[in-house]
Amino acid sequence: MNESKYVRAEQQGNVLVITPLFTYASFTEPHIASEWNEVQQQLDAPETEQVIVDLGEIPYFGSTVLEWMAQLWKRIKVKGGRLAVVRPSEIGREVLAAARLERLWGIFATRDEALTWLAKPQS
Amino acid sequence: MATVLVVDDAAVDRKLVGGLLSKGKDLQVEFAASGEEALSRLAESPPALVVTDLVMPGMSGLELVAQIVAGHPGVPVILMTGKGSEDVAVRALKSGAASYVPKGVLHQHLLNTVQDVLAMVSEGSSQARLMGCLKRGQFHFLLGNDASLIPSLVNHVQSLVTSVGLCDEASVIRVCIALEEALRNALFHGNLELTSEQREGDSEIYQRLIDDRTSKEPYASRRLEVTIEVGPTTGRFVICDQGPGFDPARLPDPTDPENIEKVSGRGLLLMRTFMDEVSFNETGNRVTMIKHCAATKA
Repeated sequence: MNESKYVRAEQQGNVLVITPLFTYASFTEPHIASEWNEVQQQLDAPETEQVIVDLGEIPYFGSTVLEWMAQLWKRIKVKGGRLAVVRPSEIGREVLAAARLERLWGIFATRDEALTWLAKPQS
Repeated sequence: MATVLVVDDAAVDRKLVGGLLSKGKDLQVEFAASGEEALSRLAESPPALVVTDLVMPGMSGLELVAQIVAGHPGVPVILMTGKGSEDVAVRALKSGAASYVPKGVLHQHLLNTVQDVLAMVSEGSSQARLMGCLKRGQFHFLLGNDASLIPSLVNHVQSLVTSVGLCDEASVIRVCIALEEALRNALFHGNLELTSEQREGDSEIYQRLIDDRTSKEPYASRRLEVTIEVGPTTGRFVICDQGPGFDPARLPDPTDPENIEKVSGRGLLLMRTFMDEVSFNETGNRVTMIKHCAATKA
């Protein structure tokens, strides 16, 4: 597990669990960009086949985090993987629902539920 | 008279700390022999401040800090740390402790630290009471293209909207999300004329574009004009940029399955979701967002 200020990444088998610790600063901003680059390398590593984004550390978020998750999703989709979102706050769920992103991603209360979903073959 | 709860499993240390604090003016000292006992005392009658040992059997001082921050956020905690526990002290501060005093210098520093923290709490409490009396707020900001000011402005609005009682806590967050989206749109898409496609590309190139335009005309001298009027029944937020504007009707609907993978349009979608009214001027460089009090809407 890397311990970072803006983005935390943990490898759990073939799943990379990414925990954003920022709500609005963009990942293009220099202080976040270097951590983001490290996460991208882990995402592109052969052992990573699926992604979980853990939103439990941020009380709310807006389009910046949504866009960031969309980028993660596109990268993992290329590898045939899926993206699951866990532990969104009540307002976080509203944001995801407003953007209709629950159609694309699994949204779960816990990591275990997400891991079970990711382990199932895609329908 | 401010009550200070001293938490330490060692009776000798409780006596020592109690003796030091008893020299302070207007301080009443009470004691607990464990973190668990301290929490039950807090539940009965919260003290003005807690001073706790770091290392205790059962609940540690660090765990006690976390519990107090979660359950009694208004009660500051000062941690007493042993030699070599500086890292833990830093973790305690990060998790919400007000301060820490190494055990080796308790005689010199504990009383002063307690009095300083109590003074800060008292000042904060007066400020909170004053803000509680606020009934209406009007502000006009003229900002440069400095994105780092956006969170500060949003925090200011959060405090203002909460103080005037426009809406409940969750709706205050919704207002803040919408405001932040509007400000970022106005700055990046309006004044700096950056497109969503550019944002979707290489992040380093996008950041260089931001840096470049922030210092280059015509972008550099553009300003964001932000007018905020908040009262108990209505909040009105007007953000005007000095870019060429845009036609909101031409933005792709981000909820349309065909566009769901595209970056653009989600900011405006969140603004429309979380505010009651969102409208643009003809040129599209001034957005007006209105939030009504829930009771008024009913």
